[in-house]
Parts: sequence; structure tokens; C-alpha cells
Amino acid sequence: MIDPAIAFAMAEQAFQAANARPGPEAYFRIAGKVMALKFADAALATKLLPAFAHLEALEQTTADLTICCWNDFSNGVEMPEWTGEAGVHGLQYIDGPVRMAWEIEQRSLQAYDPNRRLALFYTPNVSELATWEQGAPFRQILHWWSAGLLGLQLVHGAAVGTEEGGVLLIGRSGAGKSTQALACVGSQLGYAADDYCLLELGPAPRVHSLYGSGKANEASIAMLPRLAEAFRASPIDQQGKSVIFIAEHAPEAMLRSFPLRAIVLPEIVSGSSCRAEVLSTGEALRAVAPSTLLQLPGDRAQSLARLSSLVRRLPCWRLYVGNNPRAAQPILEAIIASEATQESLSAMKPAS
Amino acid sequence: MRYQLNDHDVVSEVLDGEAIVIHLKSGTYYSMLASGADIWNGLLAGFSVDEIASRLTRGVDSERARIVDETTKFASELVSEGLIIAIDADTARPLDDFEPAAEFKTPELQKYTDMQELLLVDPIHEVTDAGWPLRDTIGK
Repeated sequence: MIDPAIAFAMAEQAFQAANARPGPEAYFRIAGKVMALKFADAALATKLLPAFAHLEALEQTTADLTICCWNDFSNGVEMPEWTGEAGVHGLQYIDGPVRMAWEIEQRSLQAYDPNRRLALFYTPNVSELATWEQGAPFRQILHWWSAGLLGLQLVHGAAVGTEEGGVLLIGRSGAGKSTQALACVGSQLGYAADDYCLLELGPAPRVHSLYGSGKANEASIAMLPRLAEAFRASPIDQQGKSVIFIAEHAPEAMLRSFPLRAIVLPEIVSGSSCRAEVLSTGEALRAVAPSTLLQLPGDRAQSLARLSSLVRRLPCWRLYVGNNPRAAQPILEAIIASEATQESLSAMKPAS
Repeated sequence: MRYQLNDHDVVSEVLDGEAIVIHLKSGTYYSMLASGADIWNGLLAGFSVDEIASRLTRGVDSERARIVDETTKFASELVSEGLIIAIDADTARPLDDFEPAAEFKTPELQKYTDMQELLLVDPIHEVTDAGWPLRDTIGK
């Protein structure tokens, strides 16, 4: 056993050795902050950068967060090996001066030192990098980083809207939030996220896009004619999902940030019609908090308090969606325009 | 008997008369309704079941026995779910004041297990300050 801070230092040393001849760097603005990505291996940059291609790219500058990335092919450096009990898939250390998460089978590491705002990302073999990791890289690190900043919260949710305002689509995996968000591509509503985004809390909450990716299984792809060709040209992962980067196929649809007007919980129903009804704050918190907290270890009491404060402040709706998610767009637009009442939405005819 | 939150494994929030409680180790989450949220608030504030029942009784003595009984059962259920831990009643003192928000109604504990698969698919060992388990070292 060693002190987790020493384990962090060992991993950092491995990166420094791997990056002895520095590889590519990229700088992006997220929620007004600067994220620097340093890659010891160009192939790793090729895999991980597309998820951020829609963000504002910056010249080299002082960063609020630096993520150092490497793999076994970076300069031939060996990574320390960590182990765990049989049957355990991962190790995590989340309550000390550093944060670490190690996936035993995949031998991948995400680690963060909040004092230096320095993060480490290691994966052994770039060619075996999971598609979900390429679609939403550094999720753990971005959670730890944002948790340490006043008023930011990474959330499990999709987001669509316009520059003037939008909604957060919440719910557990499979609830329909990705499909609903992707169905907005090509409509009046822009796209900011299908699974994870950053919330800026405070009196005027905002959504900040993190990833420009979208993922869908075959059933969802059938409901997404605008993106079906792109999805079908992408490899299918073990969960039967394909990942694409929206900026490559519909760059005009991407939104980096917008004021958050409401929270919407989609629920898939039979038929093609859509309708909405008011959702209680308790139901909204139950839909967004467990899935966010259980996927993002660390700072959970604070995360729950932040999400609770958000659902108290914003209108919350349940959106019943049939087999044509595009039919829900007028309802979403009315909710975003803050013109929605239970009566007005009940009377609204869905778009064909 | 007094109790405290199992704060290593559990987080909670109370909003609009509903307590939402998440057990981070099991992936189970709970909704406490009716007087459930009041009892939860009282227990976390350090009040005993008797003290909470007295406040919920609001001077209607004919109801007291039933309220004590239902509050006791509710607290036992919370203990068996691993949400609260019994502590030494002699040394513990209430931490905050506590006043029920509403008249007594039989507490309800709704249990949701639909997120457990997230943890079952990907079991994680949480490392403490005792140490990070090193197998090999760099260059070995």
C-alpha cells in the first residue's frame, strides 16, 4: 500500500517521461475557463480531440485545468500497476488531497490534483479506447474539476435550445434524452449535449456544452433521419450504440452555451403523439440526481445540494414522447419560451 | 434511541415535503413522503423517536401511541436500509431545532432500485487513506 498522493506522483512521473519530447497540445474554452490538453502521443490526440471540436479553440495560454494524456506507446514508458480484490473492476480515491480512479481490467487512469488543477489521463492502448470514452472523454476529471469551482456542476443530461434559452433533458440511460436531443438537429433548436453537460448555477443558470458527440442504437437511429446515414457509417460498440460527432455532420446545430429555462424528463410512450405535464421538484430530483451521483464519484453531497437548488428554481416538465421525437419540438419551444402552461401544452397539436 | 445519518454512504435532500435519499454503495434511492420527511429531518437533527413523536402529536394525546408506534417502525426501517445509524442516546444531544412541517400522516418510504445496475456492472473499491494498492512499480 502506498499513499494515494504518492501514486499520483508516480503516474505524473510516468507522463513526464512519456512526454519527454512534447506531443500535441490543444486549448479550449469551457464555461469561461481554459482547459489545456497535453498529449504525449499524437494518435491519442486524434482519438480524443473530436469530442471538443465544437468548442472555442484558443492559442497556448494559462490554463484553469491541464489534462496530461498518455499511453503505453508514448516513448515506451511503463505505467505503475495497481491491483484490487477479485471481482472489483476499479479503484477510486475521492476524499483526499488528490482524486484517482483506476479501471483494473482496462488499466486506465483518471486522476486530479485540485491544488494544481492538474489532471492525468492514461489508457494503455489507444487502438482499444472505448467509443464511449472517445465520445465523452475525461468525464471523471471534469466532474472533480468543476466540483471545486464555485457554481459549476457536471450533470447527466442532454441539452437543446437556442442562444436565448434551452432545456436540460434528464433521466436515466434509456429514458429517451439522447434520442430527443439528437432529433432536434436540423430543427429550430440547437444541440449542446446528449448525455453530459456542465451547468453554471446561480441566479441565471446556464448550460455549457462539453462534448459534441451523440450516440444512438438502431432503434433510435430509425427515428433520426437527419443523422441516420452518419450513424450507420460509424462502428457499433458492445452496447449496440454508434457514436458520431455532430460538428462533423451538422456544424450549424452545435451550441456552446445557453441560458437554462426549464428541466424536462422525457418518457417514451406508444403512438406518435406528444404531450407534457408539470413535474414535481421531487420527481425531477429523483430523475437527475441518482444517475448523476452514481456515475460521478466524489463531492456527492455538494452535487445533490446543487441539483436540488436547480430543480427548485426552474420549471420542471414531464414530456411524453411517442415514436416521432420531432413531434415534441413545438412543446419544447413553448417550454423554452416560458410560455408553457399545463393548459396550453394540453391543447397543442404536435408537429407532423 | 437517537440516530445519525450514515454519512459515509448516504446523501439526502428535503424539498417540498419530500425527502430524497441516495445510498451510494447500493445504488438504491428513496423517497420519503407524508410524515416521512418530518421524521427524517427530526432524526438527522438528533432527536429521539419519542421526541419526534411528541412534536408530531401536537397535543392530541389520543394519537400519541399510534404516532410513536409508526415513527418507531419507520426509524427501524431506515436503520435496516442502512440510511441511519443508532448512536448512544445518553451522550447525544439534538443538533438543531426541529418542528414538523405538517400534521402527522403515516410515513411512506418508497424504494427505487432501477439504478443499482450501474454499480453491479462496474463494482468499485473505494480506497481510504490506508493506501493505494501498488502491484508493481515503474521500471520493474
